[in-house]
Amino acid sequence: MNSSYIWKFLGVALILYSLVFGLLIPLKPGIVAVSPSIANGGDTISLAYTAYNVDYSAIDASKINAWLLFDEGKDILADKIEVLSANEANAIFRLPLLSELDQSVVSSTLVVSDPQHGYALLPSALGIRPKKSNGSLSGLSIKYDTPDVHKVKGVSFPFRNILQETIRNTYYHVPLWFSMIILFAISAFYSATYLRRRDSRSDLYAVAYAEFATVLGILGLLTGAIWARFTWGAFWSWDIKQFTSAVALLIYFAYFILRSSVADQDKRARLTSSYNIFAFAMLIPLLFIVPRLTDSLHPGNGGNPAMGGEDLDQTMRWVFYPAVVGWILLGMWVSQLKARYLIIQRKIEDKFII
Amino acid sequence: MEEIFVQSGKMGVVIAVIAAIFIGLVIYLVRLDRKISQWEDQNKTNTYG
Amino acid sequence: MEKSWYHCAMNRWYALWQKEMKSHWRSQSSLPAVILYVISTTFIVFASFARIDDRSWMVLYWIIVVLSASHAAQSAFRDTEGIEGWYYYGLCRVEEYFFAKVAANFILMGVIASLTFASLSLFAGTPVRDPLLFFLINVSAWIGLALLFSFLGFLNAKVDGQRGLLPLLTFPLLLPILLQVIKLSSIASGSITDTSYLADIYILLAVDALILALSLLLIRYLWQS
Repeated sequence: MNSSYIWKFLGVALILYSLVFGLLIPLKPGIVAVSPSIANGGDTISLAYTAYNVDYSAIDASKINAWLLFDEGKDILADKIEVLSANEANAIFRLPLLSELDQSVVSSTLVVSDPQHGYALLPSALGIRPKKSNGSLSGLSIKYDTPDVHKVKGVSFPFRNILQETIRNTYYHVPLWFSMIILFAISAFYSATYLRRRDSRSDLYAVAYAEFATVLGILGLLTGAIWARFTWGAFWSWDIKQFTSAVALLIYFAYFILRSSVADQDKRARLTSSYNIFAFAMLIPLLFIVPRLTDSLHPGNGGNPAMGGEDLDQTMRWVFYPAVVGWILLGMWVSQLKARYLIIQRKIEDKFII
Repeated sequence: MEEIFVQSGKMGVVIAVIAAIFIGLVIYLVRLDRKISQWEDQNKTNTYG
Repeated sequence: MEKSWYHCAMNRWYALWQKEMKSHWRSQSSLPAVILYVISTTFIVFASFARIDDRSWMVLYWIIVVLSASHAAQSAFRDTEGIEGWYYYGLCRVEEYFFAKVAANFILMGVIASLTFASLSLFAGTPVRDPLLFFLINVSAWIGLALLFSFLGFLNAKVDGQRGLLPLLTFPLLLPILLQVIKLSSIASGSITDTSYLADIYILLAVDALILALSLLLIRYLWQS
């Protein structure tokens, strides 16, 4: 086999790898819904919750632990769990009065754990209104010890409440942007080469790379809009990163319009190469600096570190980074095909003129 | 329509995103293919004839 | 030796700058047209909004400034052909002419911004609480905009026939400046309280520096043949 195919097949293999493992590895269990969402201190309530990625029909209800977690590690354990269906259960809580707290509503996190599926939690699951009373219900005050949290071995992706399974889109939507930036960089590099050497080959390579990068950018915007519709609630929500990415694409649309409005080949190459380098350099403040200082729905903005900590855990890295490399390689392959086509076209045109 | 995307943990959204990327790539490749075909047709007689 | 070269360059630059300013002042289409443009845009804005809050005031101010500047920059390249002749006969360097253009555009930006500020203040009062900060923002924005309009104006002047391309080329590129400037202006008007705005000013200046470096690097390629 020709050695020039190795990196091309590597790109495809990495994308396939991200498809297979990104889709097959299960999510950790989670809690999707609870009711009621608010209760009075001192009451005994039956908290109905719907869990995700668990199968309660297969396990003994007495092995399931549920507790409400308050700030500073205080918690109350459920007295009893009643399994309703394969993924629904009631947790019976005797709520404390919380009369020592001077708040209108105290928020608590519901944690559910069992030995087979591991633990799941829902932040701000239940709000409790403290009851002012002189009662003698001292047995219901908050405990300070945490029950056992079951951890299950095996590879899984984190469960996030709004994202749910769409957390997998990290491997399909985000690499498009990484690949786009790299392809624009290569395009700018070819433009610089053109300005130094004045060979039309470099100019055509620059166009081809910019073109496919723009295609990836459009796909990134489109997939981002689909993802946003079912997580943030709208296709377009004027998020700073959505906005600046759209502007980045506008810059390159202007590049293509500029190309089409100059007839002379050399002049066209010269003007658009200058514009291309200028445009790429301006992408850096536009995509990396300005969004970071503004509040955003995207992770890694509004002063947060980009792509780290909570947003991308260790298991996800193992799928995410190969996907990024794969998309960069595939992008380079398609761009080169287009460039080679443009070069042949240019050669045929020149032959006719001579 | 809404339900299709949201059921079973919003898995439909992931499928929609992958489908959108695939369709986008295919549209780009079909356009490139058609451009190459046009050039082949135009240059049939000149290059080989 | 070194000094005299510098002296010559400065003299040429000064001559070019004077020519630029004269052409701005004299041509029927430039300065008076810009004044008319600013005032009529302000009128349209007030005819449609009637009352505006502080933040909208700032946004409108910058939109009017950018639109007027784009209009002015486009009409300022009518007689580049003459200067291009100077360049081909070796009478001046592109960089000299570019900086003459930038200086002229900077002054034009100042005039446009003052006019916009005056007419907006006349109709709606001024929301500026921190005049020093507002002036600082303005100057750094004028530098960036003058550089951007000059560079892309050079590029646009070489595009055959189609002169309407300049807004299309500039608007997406000036957005990083515009976003920073609107945010900073809101701080200057007190509609956002943010004590750590110094970082934003540095970013604005860094973007200016980036545009300056790029223009210096690329300008000579636009006039080569």
